[in-house]
Amino acid sequence: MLILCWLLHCLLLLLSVAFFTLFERKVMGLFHNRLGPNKVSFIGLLQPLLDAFKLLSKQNLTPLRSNKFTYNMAPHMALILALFVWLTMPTLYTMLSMNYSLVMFFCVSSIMVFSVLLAGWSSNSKYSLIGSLRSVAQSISYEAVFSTLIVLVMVLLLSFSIRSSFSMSSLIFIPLLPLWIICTLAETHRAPFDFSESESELVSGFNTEYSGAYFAFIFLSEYAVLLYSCMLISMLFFSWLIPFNIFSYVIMTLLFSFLFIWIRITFCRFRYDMLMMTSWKVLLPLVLMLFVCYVPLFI
Amino acid sequence: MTSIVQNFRNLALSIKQNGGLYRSILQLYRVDEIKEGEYIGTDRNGNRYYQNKRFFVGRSRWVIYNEKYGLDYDGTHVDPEWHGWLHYVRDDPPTVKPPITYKWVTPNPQENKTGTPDNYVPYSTVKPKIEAWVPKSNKK
Repeated sequence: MLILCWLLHCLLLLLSVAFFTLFERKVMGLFHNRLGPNKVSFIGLLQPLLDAFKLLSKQNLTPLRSNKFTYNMAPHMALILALFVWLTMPTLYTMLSMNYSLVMFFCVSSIMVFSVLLAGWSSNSKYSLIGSLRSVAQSISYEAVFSTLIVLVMVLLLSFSIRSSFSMSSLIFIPLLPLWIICTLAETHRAPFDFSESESELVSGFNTEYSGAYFAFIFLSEYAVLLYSCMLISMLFFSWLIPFNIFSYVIMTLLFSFLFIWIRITFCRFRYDMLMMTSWKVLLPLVLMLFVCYVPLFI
Repeated sequence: MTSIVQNFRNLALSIKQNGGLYRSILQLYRVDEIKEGEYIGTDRNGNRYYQNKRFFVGRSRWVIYNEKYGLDYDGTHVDPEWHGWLHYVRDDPPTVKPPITYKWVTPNPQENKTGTPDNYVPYSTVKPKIEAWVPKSNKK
């Protein structure tokens, strides 16, 4: 029963991720004062499903001198880890209620770096290698900040579970929100920190050599983690809204996914050294200072 | 805040102008966009022309094709008289300022027939435009 439940969960998750890509394309279209995808069925509603169908029906090309096993493994690893991240979602139904969901989220999202590393390295392409190296360096730098933030949240909650933030006390996290959003952007490799796929210098970054179903897997995993991050923000920071409206966290998730698209469309890409300097020289001292200020205040 | 309210007002107005919710959804399916605007006129094919200066130049004048075309509407269904107005060549629509009719202007302009059964096919006796190149071979 649990496995069936999880499979259904994964199916619905992948569907929502597919429609999230449509949402992104539509919103970006509106920002550009154009229509976005509109010709497939009614105002382009079936576009993501047909995109998925097209990608899955394409041939998987494997570069001749690549490391075949690792090359084929990396997209699967990315997708499975993204689904694992979603296991930690605190549901109303007792599917898999974890007491260590924050720790699990942090561990799995850290391991996801390896799928990028393996995908880039095993493609045997300069672009992929440089893209993956950049993204790994970026992820590790921002993980230092992000882990401190998560530990701060755990210390304030006196718990390892996302579920325990469901109270009015989550109001005190609000000052951490900008920092959390910056870390999330860097962790999910979204613009303005999308150095793993900076298409102006590296063709498509670490997934240059991927095509067909494997590209779809990588794409789905990225967007699944992004959607999870939006949900996590709404759970951790806005659960005090739940008494007012039970669907508030769904609305907040949508609002935050809109915010991430907004950020993507508004800001141009950072410079790489500035990104690293921001992480180590600005954000890390800031989060440590917050740690020192917060913990005595609220414990 | 007022602009958000204004957007909803514009949406309600465009739904009203398109003839109710059902008709608006049909319109959305057919032309991908519903806009509110001032009705300017109808050409001889039955296409209706609208204008709204709220939109930027390039989107402020538009045509809703006659329903007889269905989803197969085409740019050449636009009447030549209205073409100038639609593309901002002329300020006034032909309803206000009729275009000068020269004797060489065809009285009944036709749409582009390419891809339909009526498209132009040259006679079979016409010399083909492309001929295969037969290189001179040195082999004996």
